[in-house]
Amino acid sequence: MIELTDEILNKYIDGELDYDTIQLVREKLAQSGQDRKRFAALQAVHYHLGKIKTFEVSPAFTSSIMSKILKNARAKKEDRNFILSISSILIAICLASVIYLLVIIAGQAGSATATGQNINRYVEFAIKNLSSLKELFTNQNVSILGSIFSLGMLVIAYFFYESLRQTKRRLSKML
Amino acid sequence: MKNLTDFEIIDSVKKGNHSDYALLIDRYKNKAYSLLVRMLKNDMEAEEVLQDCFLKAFKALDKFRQDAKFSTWFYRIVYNTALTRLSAKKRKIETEMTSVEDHLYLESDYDYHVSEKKDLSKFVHNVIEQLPVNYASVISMFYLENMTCEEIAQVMETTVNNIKVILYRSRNALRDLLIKNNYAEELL
Repeated sequence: MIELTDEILNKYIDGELDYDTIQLVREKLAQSGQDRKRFAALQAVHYHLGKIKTFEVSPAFTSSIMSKILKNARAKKEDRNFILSISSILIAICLASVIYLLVIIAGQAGSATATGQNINRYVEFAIKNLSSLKELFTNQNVSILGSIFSLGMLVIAYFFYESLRQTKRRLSKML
Repeated sequence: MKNLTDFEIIDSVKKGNHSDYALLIDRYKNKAYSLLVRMLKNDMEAEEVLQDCFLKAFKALDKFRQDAKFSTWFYRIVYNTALTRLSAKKRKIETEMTSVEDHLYLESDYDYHVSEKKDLSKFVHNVIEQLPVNYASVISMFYLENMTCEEIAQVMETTVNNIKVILYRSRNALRDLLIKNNYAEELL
């Protein structure tokens, strides 16, 4: 004869017993009023647990999360666009500076060399005529270089500020 | 649109249709919220934590491997976030299996609150509200989410046997309370 432990009764309710054990459980339940009472109570618990209520979030819950998600996505896109525009401005300034340098060098190289088409000659000439490079740092050119460096500093400061803000946000979340 | 599977919605979100994530939120918000309310015992806090969970899940969606159910993956985020919140608040968390103490805890605690002897559903509901965290989690996931013991074990990162033990103990404790409070007579 089987002893109707709580484990067996629970397994019986969950349908985890094999056919033979199920028959034994049924026989035992038919014989013992006490076991029937225990089982009925357990079954009632199982039934009522299946009917426990689902709590509901506030009506604006989904829209509130979605607005946060879409706002983050928009902010990311704006950041990417900002970085792209700053990078392209910097690249354009660099290119303009290089072209400006080459024009200065070519202007002086044209008088010094007849053909003046060979790049190696440009390089050699540039090395030989350091005075041309010195011109870069004359009063007029220094202001251009200064502007470029200032812009670079601004960009670096922006990224530094952003990383600080993100670190602060992460720390506050952790705490 | 509403008949899409979780995987189809996730694919769509990954392709850039972020607004489709609302479908997943609507699908799981109330059940996950019920789990959190039973774990944290606080409605406002539960909603706040649930918001965090949905945002976390959205950010981690690229890491979600489709060899597991989204629900299991998401409930693991919910369960772990709730545990972190509880430990942050230095509440007592029942992480270990306890035996007789849980039984006694329910019985002794509930004796002071039994008032509506006629309403069995209310009685069961009130007792569930007082269950310890891990018991309330198992009951919620098993009965509300219709998750299997295997899935619950994955969420709670424990063994299937542990889950079964918690489930059986919860039922037994409730059953004993029913008998003690003479509800069983009405059932026979």
